[in-house]
Amino acid sequence: MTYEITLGAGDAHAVGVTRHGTRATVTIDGLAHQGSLRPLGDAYELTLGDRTERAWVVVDHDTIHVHAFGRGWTLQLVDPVERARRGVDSADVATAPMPGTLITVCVEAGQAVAQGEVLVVIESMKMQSEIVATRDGEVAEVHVALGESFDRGAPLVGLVPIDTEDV
Amino acid sequence: MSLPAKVLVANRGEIAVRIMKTLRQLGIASVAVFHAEDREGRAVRESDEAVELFGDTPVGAYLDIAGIVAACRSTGAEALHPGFGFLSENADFAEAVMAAGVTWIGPPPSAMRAMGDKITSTRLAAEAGVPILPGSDGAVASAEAAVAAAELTGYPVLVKASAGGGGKGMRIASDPDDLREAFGRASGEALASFGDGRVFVERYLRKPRHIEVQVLADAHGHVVHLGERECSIQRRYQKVVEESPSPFVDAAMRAEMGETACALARAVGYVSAGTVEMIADEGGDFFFLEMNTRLQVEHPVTELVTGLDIVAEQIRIAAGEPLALAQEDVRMDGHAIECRIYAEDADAGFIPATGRLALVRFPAGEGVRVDHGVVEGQDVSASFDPMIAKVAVHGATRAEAIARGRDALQNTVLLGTVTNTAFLERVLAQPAFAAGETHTGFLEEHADALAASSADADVERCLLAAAALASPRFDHRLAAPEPLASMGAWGT
Repeated sequence: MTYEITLGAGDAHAVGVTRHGTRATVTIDGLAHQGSLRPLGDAYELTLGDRTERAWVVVDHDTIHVHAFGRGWTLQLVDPVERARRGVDSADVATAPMPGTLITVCVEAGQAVAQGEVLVVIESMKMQSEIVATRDGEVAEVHVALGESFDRGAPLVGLVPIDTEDV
Repeated sequence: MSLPAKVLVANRGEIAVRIMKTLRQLGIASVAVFHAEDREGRAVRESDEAVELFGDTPVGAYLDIAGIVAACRSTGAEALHPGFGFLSENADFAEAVMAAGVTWIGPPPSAMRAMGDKITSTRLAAEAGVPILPGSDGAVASAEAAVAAAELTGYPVLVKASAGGGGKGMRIASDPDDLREAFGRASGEALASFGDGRVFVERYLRKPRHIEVQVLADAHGHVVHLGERECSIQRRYQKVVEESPSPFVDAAMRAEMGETACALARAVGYVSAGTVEMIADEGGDFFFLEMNTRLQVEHPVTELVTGLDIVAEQIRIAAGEPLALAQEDVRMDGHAIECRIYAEDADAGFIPATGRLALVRFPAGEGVRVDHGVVEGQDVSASFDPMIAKVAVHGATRAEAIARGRDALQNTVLLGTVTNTAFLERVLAQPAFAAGETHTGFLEEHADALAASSADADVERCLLAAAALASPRFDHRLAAPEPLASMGAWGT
């Protein structure tokens, strides 16, 4: 089975795992490596080829947090099959660039918006930021209520997906 | 006078935990106050008893004067420590606490008020002999008036729009001809930008350093200073790395700054721990910024080099005890550096991050002190300041402290949200930091060198493999090996 894994804002890599007992063959972009991840104290010992590193690992669904090489890293796993099935265009949803509070709502469901038009205004760290439409379209839903707080990445305003707009 | 038997800590997070640690050492019972969001937090766990506060917002709960005074009454707390932030510099709060018959572990409200007002505090500082940044008395009417003002301030000068902001209508001039031209340009720009062409002149400081002096004053007129802290490494006007002593300050400058700080403390009848913040220029001249009438976030670096417990001193002073040490008893041993760990994305403009702290491991060992208020499994929300912990280190030399600091940051494991630990490690690793070339524009000046570099191919392969081997996705039985699937004490 092969999934796509991305480190931070880097490129996606095709990664596969075949287990043989405690060891495994990890295939990264078509190249096979021998590897293992074994508990070691309160952490793990990661071995890949001839390299061994101490690592702390937390799995949160398809987000994997790893502390190794002296710092923390976040990796994202994507199932290419699931993604194709969902077919959701990220441009359909304006998400929060940072945690904050919704202080102004400029649009309502059903309203036509043009690219660059202000959808909502958020406040974070006493700074106000305008969230604008990334494309022309029609507002499907405003996901957050006025005065409500949200985390980074939270969906704020959904646009009607392009492929269903004319249906 | 004797120490109180029970003290209420009107704060949250790491500083509440830190104050309770000293209370425990002094054999004093502690009372925590908390908002519901902090119910499972470390401060509540470490306290002997805890009282819930209510507010329109989580922060509002910690600003509820009536609620906190009522908590003192209901628990029988004999004294209150306000920590920093929240109500710590609110003189009305101090008076309400004292009116309830509870000892206020802090300065007299009169001193808090005097230092809380910019105009009053600057006047008092000037009267006490603390240098004030020289400048024109209000706006200058003409280029020649600007030149006349600069005769008094000395060059270089900064010409600044009265209505200013954002660098508009701001010019630096290094001599009278330069200044005549700068006056014209700055006032023209100010008029265009703000509809108000008035400008004023003040001494311009190149590569200014933020240096502050810790003072301790008892109720018997005895004042000492505990040396300085340099807090020049700042982002968005907020300190992120602090150290003591300052690599810039020699014994003579320390004595001079210390004496002026003590003089100001005496002038306002100061009692308890306080900090006189100053700004120093390249030539070693220093000027008054403000006095903070409370315990400071970065007090651990002073404690590490002096061996004193500033919170314990505050409690003894509030109980009426005289200071047990004279100025000559204050020794600064070695070097200490504190790094503030924030839940924030330093590589994306320091925007705050949230998330669940699924795995928490702090460094320990010789010369390492960690002040924190978090428990594994806790959510870092946007409700409060995003500071998670303070990692402070002590070494015999500054170089040793830097090495220890880098090692401690590399071993600070906080998984589940984004933190600035790697960024702070890069700050300590900068040759300019090692050389002590710190100033308030340091992070901007070295922004390119401080930017995160992408992982090399070998490291990236290891991390991809770790993620793949840990993810239950690749396991056909879909059984995640424990405790990989665990999300900490508070469950998923």
